[in-house]
Amino acid sequence: MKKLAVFALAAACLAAAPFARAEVAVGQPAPDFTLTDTNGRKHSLSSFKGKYVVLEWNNADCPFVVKHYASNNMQTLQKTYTGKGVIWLTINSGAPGKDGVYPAAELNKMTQAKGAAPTAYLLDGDGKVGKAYGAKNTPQMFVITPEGKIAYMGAIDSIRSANKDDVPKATNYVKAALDATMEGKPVATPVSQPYGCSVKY
Amino acid sequence: MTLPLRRLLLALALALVGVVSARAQTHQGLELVQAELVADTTGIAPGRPFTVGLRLRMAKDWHTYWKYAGDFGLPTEIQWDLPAGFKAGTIQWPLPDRQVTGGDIVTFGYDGEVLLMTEITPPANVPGGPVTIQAKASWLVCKESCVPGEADLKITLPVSTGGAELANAELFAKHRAQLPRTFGPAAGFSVSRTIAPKEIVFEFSGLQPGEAKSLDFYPLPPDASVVIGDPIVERSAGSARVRIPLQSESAATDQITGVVAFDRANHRQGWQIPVAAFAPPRVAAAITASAAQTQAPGGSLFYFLCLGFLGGLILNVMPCVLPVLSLKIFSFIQQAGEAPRRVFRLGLTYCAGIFTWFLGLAILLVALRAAGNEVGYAVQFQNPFFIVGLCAVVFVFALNLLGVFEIILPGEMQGKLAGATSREGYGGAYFQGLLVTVLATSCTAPLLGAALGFALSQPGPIVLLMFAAVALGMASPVLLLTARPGWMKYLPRPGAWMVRVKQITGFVLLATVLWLLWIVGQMRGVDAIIWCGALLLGLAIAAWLFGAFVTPVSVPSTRRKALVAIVLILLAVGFVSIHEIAGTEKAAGPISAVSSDPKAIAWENFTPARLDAAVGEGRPVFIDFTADWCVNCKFNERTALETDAVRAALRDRGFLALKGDWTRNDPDITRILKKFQRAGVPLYLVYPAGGGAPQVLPELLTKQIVLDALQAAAPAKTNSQKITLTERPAGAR
Repeated sequence: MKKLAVFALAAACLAAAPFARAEVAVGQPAPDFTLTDTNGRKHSLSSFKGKYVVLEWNNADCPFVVKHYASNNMQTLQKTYTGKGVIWLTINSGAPGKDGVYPAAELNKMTQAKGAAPTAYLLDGDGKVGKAYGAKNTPQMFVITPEGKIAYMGAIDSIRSANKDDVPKATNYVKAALDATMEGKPVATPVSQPYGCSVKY
Repeated sequence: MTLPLRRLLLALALALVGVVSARAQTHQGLELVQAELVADTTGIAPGRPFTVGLRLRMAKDWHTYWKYAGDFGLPTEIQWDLPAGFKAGTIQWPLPDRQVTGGDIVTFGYDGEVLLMTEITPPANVPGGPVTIQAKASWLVCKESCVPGEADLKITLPVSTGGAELANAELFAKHRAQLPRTFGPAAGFSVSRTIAPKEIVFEFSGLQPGEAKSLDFYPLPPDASVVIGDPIVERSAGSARVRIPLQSESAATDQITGVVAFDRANHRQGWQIPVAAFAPPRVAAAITASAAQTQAPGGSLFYFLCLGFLGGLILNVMPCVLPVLSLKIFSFIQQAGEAPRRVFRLGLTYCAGIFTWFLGLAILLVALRAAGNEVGYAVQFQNPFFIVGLCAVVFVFALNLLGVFEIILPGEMQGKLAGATSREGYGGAYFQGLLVTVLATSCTAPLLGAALGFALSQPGPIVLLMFAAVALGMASPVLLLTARPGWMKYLPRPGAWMVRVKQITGFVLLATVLWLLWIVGQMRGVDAIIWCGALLLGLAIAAWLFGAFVTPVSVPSTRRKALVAIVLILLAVGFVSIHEIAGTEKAAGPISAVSSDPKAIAWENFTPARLDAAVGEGRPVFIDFTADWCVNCKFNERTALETDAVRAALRDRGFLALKGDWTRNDPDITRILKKFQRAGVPLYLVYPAGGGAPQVLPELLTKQIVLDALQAAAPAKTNSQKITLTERPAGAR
């Protein structure tokens, strides 16, 4: 009887395990995912083990995203760090038909027009990956270490505004986090309150 | 009228009422936000602060944001461009609403319209001519998508040294009512905060069920280094828990606070919780401890019942009972020669009177509470008709003792005629018990306040149990004495001298009548006293008729006529005087808060806002919760408070002295009493300089108790440091 109870308890725990959401926190493993990019190619986070990965939640119509693209801030970061071997994944978790969601070909055109240089622009139309990461804003940034752990999560920089004139005055948290981890130093600001528009789930 | 002339007149009119310039933000053909500056005055008076509001009117379903916007959004900002010497304060943010989008994305912002108010202080010298105040307002407005907006706005106001009037009063009143107050002891509820590794929990207790049900919480992280998730509000009957996930490990986590809002008296009201409310650990501990007591009565119920019993016992020697104490002593002396069994039965009857009143009061209080009233132990004293009735009863009792009339039951007639003094009947004993208790309930005694205060926060049966314990405590000396009549042999033997004692007791009761008349006068003015006096006169005539013509020896026909006359007099006098007293106006304003004595303590009237403001400034505060019918309060005020030493200490240590008058029902005061687990007055609170938990002084004060407490609360005047809470919204740069 007692054995049966222990078995039932263990079974219940096992059954419940897949439903428990992995905690997204600095120092914790980043949840794995597989998404298709605008060119139809599949990318898995786990396939980038051994490399630094940046996740950037994007919605081209959001004024806060516009702030960082019109100022060339985002493109500069993308080019600088992909040049250093960093994988930069731009993710759009907007649901079909929502603000900022366009057909893949159009998104490619927009990426080209802006001079953006992500490794891939991933489509997360059902919002599963966005929700797994607790992404609520665009832009919202994650820096993942070669070990697959989260090194930084939050805002792109320190000035919470939609004004592109603020970009040069702000501390760029993503740049600071990448530079620090790459040099093996602790990240000064590992978490910040993201700011921007809502992700259009 | 020609066009230029009309323009000129229009310009003049605008110059007089102030030029308002409004701007609209349009996006893809839709007008999203209309922005304008409005002032609460028609003109600027040099040196006198006024308020300018940024009025934003949003299109349907579009929102602008509070100082902490939540998951997305940005707080609205205002950059003032003021003439030389003018100063602008910070934005006063009305309570926001909570918006939920995309399932779990939460923001705090405004729907429809908001007025963001800023106080502008002009310099003492303003050169003549109209003054233009300019501001650059910038905001983010979102529905599904977000659009930033900004506008350069200005308002021009004339300078008027005398004739400035209020403007836009309705608009400002509406939005000012939505400004959160600073949380303080007067808010009428408790808050505690617990910081765990992954979450911060705010617990609110002492709320009405409707308040808890409508409660929401708007968090305020100190800066962007503190990253929080969305607050989850768990509401229960009289309390609410707000759990906020912590996503960062920041040294500033303990600076997280917020604004709590709920419906009170059909209005949404909010309180900003100052971080200082949690700062000294002893405060938080005290607040949570008192909350724990109310929540877990199981273990402590016996303790409180003991307190109640002891309190009831002590009640026998409280100043408010003194007038009738003589009555009790008198009846003991009277009974000294009686048969032991009869003495014990009389004792029991007397105790039945005590129990009747206490249990009756308990049932009344539970019923009133069920009907949604704030109740205290002495509520009946807040009703003028109760006082008038009590006055009449005590007066008739006095007349009886003075020998104006005697109540003789047929069976006792023989004894009456034979005995030198009248023997006490069961009816009399019961009535005495009742009367003693009625008077006793005008004040609380040491221990009693805590016990009853606890009971009133408990379910009905516990309230009854507690009142029974108090009644037992009060009755116990009499029960003991009458059960052991042997002890009574130490009392003097009865004799003819007792007639004199009885008459003297009558005069003591007449003095009690004077006190009651004074209360009636404080509540309803001179006319009410006079009409109450007329009622007493009618009662005196009726009593005299009864004593003179309704005796065992009177002729039956005379007796009948006299009885008819008595009934007619009672009806006529009773009806007329009660009708007239009902017609008197409720005395307005403070009752006895102001004294004409220049040396007296400079009392200010207690209001929750006054207390919160003073505590917020870090000023030490002494509060006296009192009532005119509370003899203990008056006793304390005369013997301990209004003494030279205490007056000097209050003045020299920079205390704010507040007096809360509970003579008439005041729900704000009832809430405070409840918060400090008291059922009635007196209650004395000493708030220390620099904030922190107040010290509660005992119900019976001595000068030394007060002086020690004042010294501990404000060691020296220079030490009363000012605590200013910085209000830095997380979203602002």
